Amino acid sequence: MQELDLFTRIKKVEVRDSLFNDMTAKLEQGTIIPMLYIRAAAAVLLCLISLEVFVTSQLNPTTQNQISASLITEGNTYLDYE
Amino acid sequence: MKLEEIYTLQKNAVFNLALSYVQNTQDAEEITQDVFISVHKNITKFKYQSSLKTWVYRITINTSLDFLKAQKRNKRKVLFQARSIDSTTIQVANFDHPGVQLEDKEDLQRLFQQINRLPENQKTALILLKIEQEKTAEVAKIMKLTPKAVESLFSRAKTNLKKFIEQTEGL
Repeated sequence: MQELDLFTRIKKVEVRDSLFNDMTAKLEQGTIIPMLYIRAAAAVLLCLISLEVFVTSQLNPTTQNQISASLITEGNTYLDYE
Repeated sequence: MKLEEIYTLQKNAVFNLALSYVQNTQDAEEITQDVFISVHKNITKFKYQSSLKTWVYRITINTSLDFLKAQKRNKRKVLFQARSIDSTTIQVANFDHPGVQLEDKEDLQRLFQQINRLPENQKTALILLKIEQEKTAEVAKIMKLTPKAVESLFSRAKTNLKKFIEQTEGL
């Protein structure tokens, strides 16, 4: 392909001198949390919430009432005075 | 080896390779910085099984491809917001390759536009062999492929490129 010969006309260029200082400044800024990690954390959180909703919806009404009742008994300690 | 030493040795190679992928000074500078930050973070993992150049080249290729993917995603967002602009308009506006002489600018800009349409591995083979003028054996080491596979990729890249150019000229 003749068109590819055009590439031989591209000259090699040098990087500007101040780039290294810019880069070290970037390094000294410390760890910037990459967007990828933030997205991954958000995805995990969403999964956990979905799982929680799914598990709760799978409980039958009797089990739900039993859980509610046990929570009320554990919480209402002042009723024990009678 | 210290980061500064590696930087001095490889900075121009990294910058020029990044330029071949993005054809834009600002973007290539950003990639160069990211490559050396990555080198700094991973230098302890470098086992000297390959040469330093091969290792740094691999990081540069991966960083450049990641950069292009991120750019593509952002462009899609922009295009979604302003449907009247097409992707080629954005690409043309971004072309700023300092190694390209003014008289070749138009032709090379058009050629790079077609190269950018190639699959990643074909594009890498083409860039390393034709722009970076690396030998097939070296490209094979960088891409972790056999020399035959590199030749095959290059051949497919040329066929596709020819097809793309014919398609564009036919419009």
